Parts: sequence; C-alpha cells; structure tokens
Amino acid sequence: MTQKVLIFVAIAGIVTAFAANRPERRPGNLTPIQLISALGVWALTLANASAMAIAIRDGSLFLFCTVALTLATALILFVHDDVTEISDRQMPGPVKVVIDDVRQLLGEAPRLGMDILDAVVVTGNCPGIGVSVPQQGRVVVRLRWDVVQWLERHQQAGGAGASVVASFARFTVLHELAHVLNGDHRTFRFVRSVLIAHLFWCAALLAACSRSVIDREASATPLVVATSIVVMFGAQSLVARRFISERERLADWRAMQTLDPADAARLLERGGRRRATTNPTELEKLMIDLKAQAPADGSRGPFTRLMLFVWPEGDAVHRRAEMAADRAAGEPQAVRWAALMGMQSGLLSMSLMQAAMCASAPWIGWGRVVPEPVIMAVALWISGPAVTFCASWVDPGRMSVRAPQRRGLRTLVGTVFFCTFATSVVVLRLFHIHLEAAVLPPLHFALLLLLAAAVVILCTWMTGVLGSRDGGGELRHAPRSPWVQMYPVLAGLVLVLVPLSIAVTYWLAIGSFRSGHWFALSSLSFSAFTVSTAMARSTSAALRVIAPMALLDTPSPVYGFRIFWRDFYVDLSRVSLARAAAMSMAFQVVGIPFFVLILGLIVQQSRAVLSAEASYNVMFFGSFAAMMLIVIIPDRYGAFGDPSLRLADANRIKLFEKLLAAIHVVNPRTAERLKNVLSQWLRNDRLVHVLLPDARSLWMLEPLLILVRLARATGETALLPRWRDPIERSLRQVVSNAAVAVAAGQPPSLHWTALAVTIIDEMGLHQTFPFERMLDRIETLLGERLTHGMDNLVADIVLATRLLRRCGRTGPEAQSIHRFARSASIVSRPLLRQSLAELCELAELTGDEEFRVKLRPIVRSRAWEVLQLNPRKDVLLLLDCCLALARLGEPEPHEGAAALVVDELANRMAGELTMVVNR
Amino acid sequence: MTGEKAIIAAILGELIPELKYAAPRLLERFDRGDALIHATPPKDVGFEGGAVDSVLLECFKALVPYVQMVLGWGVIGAFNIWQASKRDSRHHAELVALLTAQLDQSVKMQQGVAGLSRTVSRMDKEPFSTMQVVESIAAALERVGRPEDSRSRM
Repeated sequence: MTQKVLIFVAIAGIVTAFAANRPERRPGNLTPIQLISALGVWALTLANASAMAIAIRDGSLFLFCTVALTLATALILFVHDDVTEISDRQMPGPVKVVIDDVRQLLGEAPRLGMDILDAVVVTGNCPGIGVSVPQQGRVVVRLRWDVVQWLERHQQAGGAGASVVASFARFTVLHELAHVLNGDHRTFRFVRSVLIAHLFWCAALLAACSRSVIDREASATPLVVATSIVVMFGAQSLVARRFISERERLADWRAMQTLDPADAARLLERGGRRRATTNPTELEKLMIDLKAQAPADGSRGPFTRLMLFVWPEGDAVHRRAEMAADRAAGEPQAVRWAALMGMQSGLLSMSLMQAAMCASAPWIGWGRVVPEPVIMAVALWISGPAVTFCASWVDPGRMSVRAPQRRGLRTLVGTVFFCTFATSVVVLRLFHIHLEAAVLPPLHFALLLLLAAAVVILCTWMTGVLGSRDGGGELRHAPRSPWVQMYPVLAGLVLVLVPLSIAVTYWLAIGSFRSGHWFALSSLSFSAFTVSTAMARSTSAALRVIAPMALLDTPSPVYGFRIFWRDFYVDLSRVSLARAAAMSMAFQVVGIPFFVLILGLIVQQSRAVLSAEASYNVMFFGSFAAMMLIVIIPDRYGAFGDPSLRLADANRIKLFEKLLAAIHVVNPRTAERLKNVLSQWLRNDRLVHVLLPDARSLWMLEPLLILVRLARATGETALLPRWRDPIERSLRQVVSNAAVAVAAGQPPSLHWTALAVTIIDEMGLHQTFPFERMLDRIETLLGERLTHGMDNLVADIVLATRLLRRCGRTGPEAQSIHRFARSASIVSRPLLRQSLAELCELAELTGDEEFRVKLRPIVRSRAWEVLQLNPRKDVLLLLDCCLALARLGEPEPHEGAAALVVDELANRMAGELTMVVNR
Repeated sequence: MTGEKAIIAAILGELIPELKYAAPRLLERFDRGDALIHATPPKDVGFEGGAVDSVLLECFKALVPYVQMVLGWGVIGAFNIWQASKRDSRHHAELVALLTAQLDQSVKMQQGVAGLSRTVSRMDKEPFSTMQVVESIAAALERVGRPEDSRSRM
C-alpha cells in the first residue's frame, strides 16, 4: 500500500509541479525552436517521474537519490534569480528615450501582449542587459549598474559617440523585446535548469557502470534507467546548443527589422585598417566591448566547463553581428524543424505513456498495458498539434508566388516528422523493454505508430486547407469571422460530437467507452459532414443536390449554411455578431446529430454481420476513406490548375494590388519592374474566366474588380474590351432588381452591389445595366447600413462612398459617415485586424480632418506592431499600414523600416512572378 | 589609465579593429595576468550572449609585447614631436613621416614593427607590411591626440 501511494504521489507531484510552474506568461509567440526545446525537456521530466516510480518499486536508493537531486537542482536553478536588488540609479538617457518611444507606440493598448513596459537598473550577477516578465503583460528591461556606466563612457570622448550609443540602446531594447515576443522568457530558464541538473545522471551512469563491472550480480535496472535518460539528455543537449544560438539570432533579426534604417546604418558602419578583407561593424565592436565589460572573475572551475558543455555561450559575436545585417534572414527551415519536432514528440509520447504505465502499475501490475484511449490521446494530442505547427509554418512564412500551394513541401514536412517520430519511439522502446516495468506490447506499439501516421496525414492535409495567414501576435479579426466560422465548429465537435457519439454508442449497443467505438463513430460523422460540405460547394449540380447539410462557400461578410437541403445566409454587416454566432452554433447542433444518428443506425445494423472489432475497423478506416472523396469532388478551384492561374486566388490577387500601390510610394523603380511582370501575367486569356462570379460564388466579384483595376494600373487597358463580354454575361447572372442579393431569394447586399456597380463603372458597361437605378439602390442601402449596420466592417462603406463620389453623388449626409467612422471598432479597440487604409480613405473622402489626426498615432503604432511581428508573413497588414501612412502623408519614423521590407517583398515577388510567367 | 597605456590600447585597437573599444579593458586584464574574457554559460535571457573569437584574443596577447617594444624605442618621441608641432601641421602624413624616420634609425623599433607585421599577417591570413603597421600606429596616435574628434561625432 505504501508503495502504491508513494509511486502515485511521486509521479502526480512531478507532473503537477511541472504543469503548474510552466512559465505561461504572455506576451509571446512560441517560435519553433522554443517549442522543440520545451517538448524535449518535458520528456526528460516525465522520464524522471518514471525513474522515481521504478526506484520506489525496486527500493533502489541509488536511483531515488539521483532523481531527487536532479529535480531539486532543476527547481533551485529555475526559481533562483541572479538580480540582488533594483538600484535607484537613474536610467541612462538613450535607454530612457527608447523606452518612452516604445511606450508611446504601445499607445496604452496591450499591443503584442504588452500592457506595461518598464526599465530598471539592477545589481547582481545577472546579464548586463536583460528582460523579465514578472506578471502577465508586464515587461521589464533590466540594465546591470555597470552597463549604465559603460553606456555613459561610450557617450564621452574616446567612446563610440552619442549617436551610435543611442542606436545601440535602441537595438538592444528591441532585441530584449524580441526575446519576449519569441517566447524565450518562457523556455530559457526551464530548459537551462533541467538540462544542467541532468549532469547528475551522467555521474549516475558512470557510477552504475562501475558498479556493474565490480558486482556482476547487481541489478541492471539502474544502469538501463541511467543510460536511457542520458541518451535523451544527450539529444536534448544537442538541441539546446542549437537553441541557444538560434534564439539570439532570431532576436537580433527581429530587432534589426524594426530598427530605423538610420540607426541600422550607424550600427552596421564598418571601420578599421583592413583593405582586402572586411572590417568589423560598429555593432560587433560594441558587442565585444560589452562582453569584456562583464567581470572576468577568478579561474574557470571544472563545473563551469561542464556547464559550458551543456549550455554553451552561443554563436560567435562576429557571426551574430554579420547575420544581424541581413534584414531578410529568419527564413522558416520547415524540414529541419519537422525533423526535430518529430523526434521530440516521439520522446514525449513514449515518456508520457511510460509515466502513465508506471503510475498505474501498482494497481494494474508492472508491465501491464495502458488502456487504448491513453494511446489514442497521446497520438492525437501530441503529434497532431506538433505536425500542424510545423506544416503551418511552411506556407505563409514567406510569401512565394513560385509555388503557391507548397503541397510538396508540406508532404515532405509530414513525412520527415513521422520518420523522426517513429525513430525516437523505437529507440526509447528498446530501453523500456529492458526495464520490465512499462513497455508497450508490439500490437499496441504498432497501433500507436499507425494512429500517429493517420494524425500526421490528416493534420498535414488540414493545414493546407485551413492555412495560417497572420503573423502571430494579439490581433483579432474584424469582422470577427472566427466566431461564425471556426469557433462554432470547434464547439460543435467538443460539446456535441464527442458526447453524442458516446451516448449513441451505448444507446444503440454498438460498443463501450473502452472499446473506442465512440471515437470511430465521431471520426466517421466528421468525415461525412466534411464530404457533404464539399459536395454542396461542388460545381456538379447533381452533387450539390445530394448534400443535406453543409457550410456553404461564402467568405466574409456573408456566411451560408445548408440545413436539410435549405440554404440560410447570415450577412455580418447587417446582423450582430452574437446573433450570427448563435445561428452558426444552431447549425452545428442540428447538423452533427444528423450524421451521428444516421451513421450510428447503419453501424448498428452492420453489427448483425460484423464482429465488434470488425465494425470498429470499418468505421475508423471508413472515415479516412470518406475523407479521401474530397479529392475527387469537382470544385471551381479545379479551373486554377495552371501555375499561372493559381496566382489568381482571392488573397494573392489582393496582395498584388496592394503591393503595386505600396511600392509606387516606396520605390518607383521596383514598381516599374513589378508592373511589367504583372502586365505579362494579365495577358493570360484564361485569367478573367476563372474569376467570373455566378450566383453561387458572389465573392468572386472582389477578385474580378481587382483584376480590372490591375489591368488599368499596369497600363494593360487593351485587355478590357476583350474582357467586356464575359464580364457582362457573368454580371447579368447576379444582378437582379438593380442590386446583387446576398444569395438567391435573399435581401440585397451593399457589399456585393457596390462591387458589381464598381465593376460596371470601371468596365464602361453603364449602357447595358440600369446604372443610375443601381446607384439609387446603393444610396439607400448605404443609408440603412450607416444607421443599423455593424461598426467593425468598413470596406463596403468605403467602396460605396467612393463610387457615389466618383459618379457625382454626395450620398448620405457626411455627418452620418463621420459618426460611423469614429465609432469604428478599431478606434476604441486598437487590437482589431481592421484595414486602416480604408479608414484613412473614408476620412479623406468625407474631408474629416479631425478623424485623420486621430488616426495618425493608431497607424504609427500598427506599423511598428506589424514590423515587430512577422511582416514577411502578414504581408497584407504591412501593406495596409504603408498605404495608410501614405494617405496620411505624415513623415513616419518607422516608415523607413517598413519601406525596406516592402521593397524587398516586391523585388522578390517580381522575380518569382517572372519565372512563373515565362514557364 | 596612464597616457602610455592609453596609447598601447589605441594601437592594439587599431591593429585589431574588432577590439577597438575593448582594448583598454583587455590590456588592464593582461597586465594583471587575468584571463581576457571568460566564456560563461548564459544565466538568463540577455543581450551579451555570444563568444569572442579566441584567435583575436590570442593575437591581442601576442601583440602587446611588440607594441610595448615599439613604444619604448621611438614612437613616444615621434608622438611628442608631432603633438608639439600640432599648431602648425597636424597632418597624418607628417606623423607617418616622423614615425618612418624613427623606424629607420632604431633597430629595436624595426624588430618590434616586424613582429607586429608578422602577427597581424598571421591573424588576417594576408600580408600586412611594416609600412601598414606604421600607418596604423599613426592612426592610433592621432586618435589619442585628438579626443575632440570623437566628441565632434556626438
């Protein structure tokens, strides 16, 4: 009994302490290398928990002491802070200036997850310039007192000079903020403390080896346990070596791309006597001096040398300084990340299962198998998110037009992930076999690998479908489409699908909770639901008729649902978000039970001829087979087959338009280059045909309008007469009663109508449509929209106002537009992902100077924010800021940094587009 | 730091541009017999992570005796003459000419300069002539002699 309690308390205690002490403090985007290190260290911690259980079982004082010493040391190192006190010494001027600047840019909003930014002078044996996050949202930059003196010395004669010191201070503060944004503050101490503490296991291995040589009768268990942990520790040390240099490189890169070009130029200025080889930059000289500033106390003991082996200094200063100069660095290394992530996920999965088996061993017996749900949970909850994370970093990390889908790379990422996952679990299993304590039998082990493979395939595919287009951070979408599109689906899966599948499994006597039939039924129902949605969106009329329930293909702001062959639509510009979310949830509540009940009944009938296991297999593998049907269902994206046409997807064509507009402001020479290559691309005769809207794809109106505008912007006006007939025919299908309805039989939509009328206007089709009547409708709809519509969507209002003004109409009263614009959500909630360029245009159209003044700090803050995040991924947000800055016409301190990124993006895109067009 | 030490640090900083700002502190440690820079495992998230190239530090140690040698055998004298005449002419070329003249007269100085040339060539992996050494010494002396230059950059 004592043994049972001890083992349970030991494992539960370690797991709870580790979960509770996880430094989960925002802000922070966990970059891959941080997550990779953290996964490995969690695996090591769980392996210690298992070792503790084995020590209690075998009464091995040797193992018990090693685990206790390791964990105690890790805990002490983790909680110990080297800062002895906060000094009352005044912060040096250059640091004060940069902190004030950043505070101003934060604009009292929790941008990037930072509520408060402070800087303090500290004493102690801590880093010279460091950062801490004492509580959620509070970031403190810490300067050691001697670094204050160092900064002051460099401002005086013989030093680097005041302006260089100011630039250096700016760079270092941004570097520290970058550490926080990369998630270093979460993982650094955790990984370091656990790894250094594991040096005890190296000593334990030596002792166990010696003991086994001296006493051949001694138990081999301590040796096997120590070897397995030291092997994991070795792998983690190698990962950590990479992690240490990578985190500095990433922080340098993030800081450098946010830094004003003038500051960067000062730091990257090279000087010295060398003529043939390159001289060092000012940054390198200052970094070496700062390094020399730290006291070089005493001689290095063997323990410090050992610690350096586990936790080295990181990249050479020279390498860091040279790499910092490359603003375009930080390219996602998807395959390498996938390999490391796969290895770490494998180690964590096996360690978790071993810990679970050890914890339950006193009750179910040592060496007994963990229940299947545990295996399934491990396969699902570790491999799934990990591979999704890897694959989602592949696609939009860098905008590329050469391979728009990146399917090949995603497949490679999934394959590499699974291979390293399988290798690490096989290696750990070999150790576990020798422990005679917790080992998965071959059948269960094969099930784990099979499930992991299935999860990897599914998640890799889902990543391609869903994608991830934003650059991270705290920005929320406006209109809040996830509340209508994604959250109800997720809530439906968790709150309806799983409980209902369990209930139906018992009710229809298909199986039990332990038999896992509920899981197979859930998978099958989800697959059926997905296939039904794909059929309802298909270009085949027959398939559309068959689908009973579906989420229709209607992007923002209109969302469509099919319930028992009837289509319902929600226009987010007309109804409240709560109502739209409730309707979406109601759809899930009706749709999911429909599939679960029907499939449950079918399975119940099949049980007459199939055994329990066979029916489980049919359901489980049938769900994958059903999912594969999506590949053969025809959809309108099939027309985008050729690489050149694939570039015409809604997001990318919007990107081309904004990039061309922004690069005109930034660099006219690059603009000319991009314009020329876009002209060539537009000459593809099939291009206009894939973008023609019909009643089921009204959202194509927007890319079509952009295409027409691109033709004008690139001087390809000769194309417009050729496009006129197909566009006219297409618009005739969607325009009825001088407006475009949300969908057939639905009320007219301001958004769709304004788009259609703008196309008619730009194509010169006034005579073929009741143009004036359509303008009247728009005026009426705009008036209604300003009175009753929601305030976090302005695109339709800007479009309609611009159109009316161009056609010589004043539209609704200017005051009502002013009121609406000022109540726009982004003004009161600065963290919304809303277009600022549109708001600036609205202010300009209505001559609202007061609103323009109000927008200026918001735009400046957003531009800084987007540069701090991932501007090469969140390109549309960056371009929107650039265009907003241009509209406001203000000299903007960060404009230079943003301009450099825009120029780089435009150049690369022009190059890649040339390759696609000339193929 | 005494004037002579400041000149030695400036010459070392000129010969190893990476150590331009760190040279005075490293020289103090060298004189005390301490390690120049200790590699330490980083304790927390901070800015000054990164290793300093050991080749630079070894080269620094190797250069110090040679710099002291050339300083004792003519450089200080040339510097003082140049400082005294600075109201009339403060050209770099004049200082180089003074140093070259001293170099021609003093065998010890020639040995020191040759040692500096050899060591720096080894570090750079490309030839560094005695004339370039003289030029570098002149540049360092100029920097020490004109502290207002660095002030003007503020």
